Amino acid sequence: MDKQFQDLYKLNQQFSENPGNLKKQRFIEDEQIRFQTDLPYRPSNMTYFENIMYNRDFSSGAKPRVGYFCNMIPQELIYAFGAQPVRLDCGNAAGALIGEEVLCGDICPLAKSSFGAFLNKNSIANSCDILILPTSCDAKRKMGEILNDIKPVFMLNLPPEQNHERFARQTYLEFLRLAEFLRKNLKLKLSGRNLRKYLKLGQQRSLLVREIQKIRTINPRALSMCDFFLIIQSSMFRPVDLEDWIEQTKIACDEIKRFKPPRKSLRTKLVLTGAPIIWPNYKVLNLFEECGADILADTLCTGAQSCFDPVISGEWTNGSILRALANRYVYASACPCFISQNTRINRILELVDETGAEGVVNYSLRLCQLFDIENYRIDQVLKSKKIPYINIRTDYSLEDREQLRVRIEAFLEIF
Amino acid sequence: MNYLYGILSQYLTPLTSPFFLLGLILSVDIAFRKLNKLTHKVLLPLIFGCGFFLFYIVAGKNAETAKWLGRLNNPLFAVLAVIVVPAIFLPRGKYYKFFLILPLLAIILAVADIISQILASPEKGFHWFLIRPGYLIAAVAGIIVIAQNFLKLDKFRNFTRATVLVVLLFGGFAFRQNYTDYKSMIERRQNTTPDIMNISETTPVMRFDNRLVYIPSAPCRFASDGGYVQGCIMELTQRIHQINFDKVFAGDPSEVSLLAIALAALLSVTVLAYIGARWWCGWICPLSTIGELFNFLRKLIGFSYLKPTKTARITAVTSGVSLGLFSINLAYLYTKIDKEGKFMGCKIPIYPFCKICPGQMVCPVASMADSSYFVLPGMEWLFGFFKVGVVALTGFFVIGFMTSRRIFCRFCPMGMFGGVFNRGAMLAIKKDPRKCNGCGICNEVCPMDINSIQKEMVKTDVSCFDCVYCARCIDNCPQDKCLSLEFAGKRIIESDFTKKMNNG
Amino acid sequence: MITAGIDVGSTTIKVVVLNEDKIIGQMIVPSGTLPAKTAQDTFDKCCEANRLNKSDIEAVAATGYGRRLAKFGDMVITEIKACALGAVFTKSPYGNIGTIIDIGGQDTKVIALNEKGDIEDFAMNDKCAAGTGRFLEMLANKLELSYVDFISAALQSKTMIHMNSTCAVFAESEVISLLARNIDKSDIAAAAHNAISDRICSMVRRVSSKEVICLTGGGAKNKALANSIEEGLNKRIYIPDNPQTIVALGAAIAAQNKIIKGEENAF
Repeated sequence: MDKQFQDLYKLNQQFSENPGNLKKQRFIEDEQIRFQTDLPYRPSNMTYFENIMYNRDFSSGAKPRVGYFCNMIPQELIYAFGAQPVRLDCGNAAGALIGEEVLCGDICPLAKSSFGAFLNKNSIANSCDILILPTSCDAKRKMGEILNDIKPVFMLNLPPEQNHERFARQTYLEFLRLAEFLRKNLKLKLSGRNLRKYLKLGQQRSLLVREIQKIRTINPRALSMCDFFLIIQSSMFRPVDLEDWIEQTKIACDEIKRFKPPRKSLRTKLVLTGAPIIWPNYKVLNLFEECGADILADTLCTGAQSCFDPVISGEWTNGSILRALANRYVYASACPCFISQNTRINRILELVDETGAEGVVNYSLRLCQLFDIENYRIDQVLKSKKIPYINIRTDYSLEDREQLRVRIEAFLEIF
Repeated sequence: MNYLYGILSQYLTPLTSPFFLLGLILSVDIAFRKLNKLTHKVLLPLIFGCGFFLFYIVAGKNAETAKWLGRLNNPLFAVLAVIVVPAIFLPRGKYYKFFLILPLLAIILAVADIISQILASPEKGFHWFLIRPGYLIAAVAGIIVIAQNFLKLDKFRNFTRATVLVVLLFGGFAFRQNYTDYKSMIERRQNTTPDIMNISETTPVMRFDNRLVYIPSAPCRFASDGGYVQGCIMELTQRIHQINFDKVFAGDPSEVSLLAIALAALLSVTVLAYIGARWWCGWICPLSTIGELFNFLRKLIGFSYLKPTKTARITAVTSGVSLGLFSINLAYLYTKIDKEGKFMGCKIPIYPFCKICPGQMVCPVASMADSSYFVLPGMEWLFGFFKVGVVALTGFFVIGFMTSRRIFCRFCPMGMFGGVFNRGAMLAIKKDPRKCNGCGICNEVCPMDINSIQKEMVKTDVSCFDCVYCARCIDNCPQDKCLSLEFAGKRIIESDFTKKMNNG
Repeated sequence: MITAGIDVGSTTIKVVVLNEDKIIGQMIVPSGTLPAKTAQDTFDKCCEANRLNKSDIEAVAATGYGRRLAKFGDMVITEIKACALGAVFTKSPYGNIGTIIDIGGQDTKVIALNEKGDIEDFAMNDKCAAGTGRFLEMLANKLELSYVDFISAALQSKTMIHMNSTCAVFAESEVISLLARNIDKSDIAAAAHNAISDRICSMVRRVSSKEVICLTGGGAKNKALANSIEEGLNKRIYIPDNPQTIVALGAAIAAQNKIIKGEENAF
């Protein structure tokens, strides 16, 4: 296997001594936890999920840790090697300010924030042993080059189009290369039995998420969208034992099923689509919660959609499973980094029909060209189908909450 | 039992006509799609049924029509009409249990027939089950219909294939009228002259009291005493090309009857193909069931399958078509052979395609029939075309199934005949393009490596030429209600990952 | 039925008292630093000035940036909906209003309406001063003119010059450099108006530019700006009387509608 990066100009890792910023980061997380604690109707074991996200002890556990970005990296494969996958996309507004110390200020806030995490010695990003980045957007692609000087990085080459005929073989070879990279760098062997076990666990997670989404469609007040996102993200963004998580989520799901709303809900029902919303940046979710609307479903790569598709393999041979992983993680993705196959538009329209939603919220991060330009088509399609929608374009900063609030309230006044 | 069989045969004769089956399905299709009230829905097929009976009786008065109608009849159509079609169309409520009495009755009658034959035979000791063909087909259909209620799709498909394999390859011994018939078959088998291409071997089993079963898949006539399964389209085509049309126009009765029989067979097969399209390939064909055993071996070893490239696929289809055409041409040339049995210096057998077809090797080997000689006569004929041909094709069969799942089925002419009916006939695979997330799992699990289902994002009908309706794509699709199988407008199966996983 | 609407804006607080379809009182005061207290005081003063008893008023609706500060209000409504209601109420003589441009002191809104007067789409510029009344105030200061003189100077301009700055702060320095080149003050004033109207027009076009276009807010009283926008969009502009209180008027109408709906439901 040839090396992806040449170590010709290796840079030293920079750290940022900014205790004030770390305090601010913590403060933002505290605020979010406080907001969610005040929500009505929470399942009793929400503290389990909160503790997972709030925990600051990132010392390496028994298993080697593999950090990855985006939603196109197969977690099951990493688990099967005996390692722990952790998603490193960061959602902290103060974290973006640290990233700005090194990188340019006019780039995607997610990239700034995720990179900023590496400047903090005790962050979860620095506790990883190796990193995997897909070539999804420009920011990730170039970050990989810089991060390679810090930790061994593997860049997974994604096809520009989700077209099986042209790219299926290449994607399969990339996944093979990924397996080889993991084997070499973790010094662990791929266990076929573990692969099958985690495939089944992944399917269980997918079923749980589907079930909770179905319950929320009928009974939106049973679980707030903020809590739903917290539950889903706690399985990806922190090192967690997947079996424990599934057990706890099953308990929460049973509780939610038995929830009986005290009165009829008059809150507007919406579908959310757009850019990643990562804890603690639940600003938009909080606003909708406060302004009196319920988000029933989403197409976000950090929300219900991220766990919605299961990995299904026809056979149990390793080659077949790798192909199945490629199918689900790369070809079923609704990310705009691929040339559009109308996957996202189809999903939005399908969700609006299935959930009976009255409108669509289109959320995009400032400075993300992919969403900005793709939104043109989505806006036109929704307009032509006479589905009310609102575009919310913002970055991580918490200063524009009131400005967003007046827009959201005006949108909800239409119904 | 004899008496009962006689009565059933007499009164249920109109049901054994292929046109009854066709008309029944069409009337049920219209009734369920266009009419609303339940009484109307049941009334339309009933009216059709009575009308057809009347027509049959009236038409039967004319001797010539009666002869033609008689040629087309086969108990398989009756069984399909009475047991299988209602099993598909009746709503699965709590009253469905009452319908299941019918297949149960068929099984009971079959068992009763076997017992009566055993009691009636003069010889003691085991010599295979003897059973009338009508009962056998009804019982097999009954078992399959009842099993469908208890088995999941994959296991149900494997169960159906295993059952049909056993019946088609080994049923020859059972398909006998009575004990004397069985004895004469044994005598005939003592003749081990390796001239299996001689038509005399086939005559005694041709069209003898409704023992013929036409199934448009590749159960070969060379299975043990398998001459009763005359589905193979290649054989029928070859036979039609060997008919002397001058004699036919001159009114020679034997030649005319040969043509008539061949045409009747062709018509029956076409009707069945129209109804089931290539479903027979996926669920009935014993050749593919044996091939799947090789595939299972591959999975056991842990080999990942090879996806056939576009070149491989096109080569398979074109070579199938060209070999087929070439053999039909040779079959025609057989009529021009001279006294020594040679045409332009080369010896040509009576059924040239059968000499190279792997089915002729595989099915007899599987059923331990005598026709599976390894040193077949005439192998060196035509510059060794047949020797090379049969080795190459049998090798292709085995290696194809061992490495690349069903690439052989792209070559099979019988499959191609069924495939023609895939679009526009009664079976259809439907897709809701808006629910599709483009994952391509349908392509991965498809044994024919079809990618048009995954690519189609505009139309809702995604049936295609190669599909054998194994329904693995529908079973494995993760998006609920995206893919579905429809028969004559009725949705039989639809993709439901959530339900499937919740049921364990 | 008498209702009142109060618009608690960032620069001024507006109150309108409405009796069925007649405006019986209105008042505009600066917000100051204690908008909550000022809101209450303004409301009291408005009632006194028009000899109304507070008990005569059936409902008060609050809108604007500080709508939740007016705690004595009975309902809260966004200024977008209030603006739409107010503008449609004034019954434009040119036909149905298709687009509303509200030029406030610190923000600008564009609202697209359908034939029935319902809101179809809207956009706000509340992040940047360029495109708001604040921009013109700052430049008037720089030219050492009163706001009124600034506007009349712009109306007298004969030559068109182009201002390059997109940012209000940088525009100040650009004004200084233009003065240094001896450009006439009226031309600079006109250029400033054109710059702001360009930004407003491009925002309008992104949302909708259906006729009739209605200008509201403090900026609507600026004749030079209205002319510039009319030229920029090439559509007919309608400016209602008292454009600054349209939003408060809309709030009063919203309160009225709510009461009527409540009475209908009671039957």
